[in-house]
Amino acid sequence: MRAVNRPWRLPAFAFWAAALLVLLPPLAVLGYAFSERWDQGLLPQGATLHWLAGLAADEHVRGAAWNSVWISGAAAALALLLGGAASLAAHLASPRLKTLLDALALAPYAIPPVVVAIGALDLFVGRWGDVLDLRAVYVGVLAALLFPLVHQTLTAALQQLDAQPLIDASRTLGASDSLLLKRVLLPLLLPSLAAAGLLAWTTAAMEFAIANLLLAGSLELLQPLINGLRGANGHLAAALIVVSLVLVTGLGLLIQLLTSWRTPARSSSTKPA
Amino acid sequence: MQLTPARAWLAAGPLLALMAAALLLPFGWRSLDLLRACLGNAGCALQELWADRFYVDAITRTVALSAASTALGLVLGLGAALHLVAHPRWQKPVAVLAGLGANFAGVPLALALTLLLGSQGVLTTLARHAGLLQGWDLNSDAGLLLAYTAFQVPLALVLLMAPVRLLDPALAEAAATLGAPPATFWRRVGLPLLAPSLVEAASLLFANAAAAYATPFALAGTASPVLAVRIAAAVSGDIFSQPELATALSLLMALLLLTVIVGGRLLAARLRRSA
Repeated sequence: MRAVNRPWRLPAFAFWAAALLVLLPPLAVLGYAFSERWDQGLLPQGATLHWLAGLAADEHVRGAAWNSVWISGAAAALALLLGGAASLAAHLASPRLKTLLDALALAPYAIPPVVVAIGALDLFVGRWGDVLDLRAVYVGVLAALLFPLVHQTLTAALQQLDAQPLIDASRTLGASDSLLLKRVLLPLLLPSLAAAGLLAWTTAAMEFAIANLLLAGSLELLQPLINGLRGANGHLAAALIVVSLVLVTGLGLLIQLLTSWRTPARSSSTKPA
Repeated sequence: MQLTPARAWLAAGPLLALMAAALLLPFGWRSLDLLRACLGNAGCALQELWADRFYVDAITRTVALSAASTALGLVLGLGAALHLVAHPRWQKPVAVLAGLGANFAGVPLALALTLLLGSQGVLTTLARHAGLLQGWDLNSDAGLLLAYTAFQVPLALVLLMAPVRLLDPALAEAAATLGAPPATFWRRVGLPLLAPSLVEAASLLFANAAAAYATPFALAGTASPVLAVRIAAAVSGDIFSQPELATALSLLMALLLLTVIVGGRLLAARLRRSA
């Protein structure tokens, strides 16, 4: 029989295989975005910032980037406002509502974006297109798909905060629920609300399926633009991907920071205001 | 003001209206139309679907691709999570990278894979010079599986990190002291303990893969042989629009995903109860 104490190599192998699979694609795009050419040998040749500068000068790209920023921001804000209110109200006062919201948070997994997009195309564009604004339709549909992110982030935050004793204590002391919300829960949940909003925003900005099917031809967004650019100038598309991923990863770091602040927030809240 | 259950429902009203209007209404509308046609005497798109090999093939291929990428994602994600628990200093950078990886799907992933493994890709050219990958095609089933696995692994890692961290390390130490090799420990103790979380993660990964549209579309355009692209192509196709067919395919996809997600939840709950 072989030695039992021999270090087990399988997890390390899986880890490095996963790292290769996850790291290699972004590195390839990074190399392509900052090089003149990459058709000879293993490494790209001719370092250049030409493509990056080309992006800033391109009015088409600037327009699409701005459209993406505001429309995904609007969808995230709507998801955070409506989803946050519903999620908090359910946690505070109605377990039955919470069960319903938990089930609704699974709906976007069962009804995927493509299915939502073709349904919306038929109903909101085909039948009611004269009265509905397409951008508003996109924001609404996207906000509905973002709701699970908001609901799950807030549910995890309330669990981690162990909010129930705080709620019980405030009610025992006769405080109204609006005071509890304003003075205790919202300040404690602020980092999580910000994290949920940022997560929804970055997810919305990277959305492709609905943007491609619903908005094609009427409003240009970043992801469909990158897809179109790939055929014309791959370097420019790569540079655009790098810029948007740097922004998304930066916001991701911020989300990490905000969610890790959640636990100490409670102990500092005991200080007098 | 006290928040009564009635006021809570009132506060949730706008969200419930949005979810109903944006998700359930368009989907339900089309499905009702389809069912009405199927129950009436007129021809039904569902029959058309089964008669056409093209769509049956898309369905089986989507299921096989989702299942295979889920299995690969779970194996690599679980292995990576175990490695990370043993090497905690890697955890922070990997969490950021997993976030990056989860966002690096769709168009960016398709561009990266074309650069690396497309017909003129760097790795393809190098491998061909070495006499390898002669018949490689990124748009083949193997290429799609690679692309799907690339976005499934980070998600699997994110989903499995918490349950793996909760696994008591003393159990593995006790098993090792008693002379059990790691494989025996995992077969008899570790995997049964993690089974509920693995089932839940598997159902979400499967749904994630089956719903994927951007990656296959960016790789192969409307010719991509997966269900999500076929649904979109049926309404915005190059030749002519077949909305009834798209509805039938959507209904089928929603049923498939609903079964997988609800089934996964129920199975996980049962495993937790019996543990």
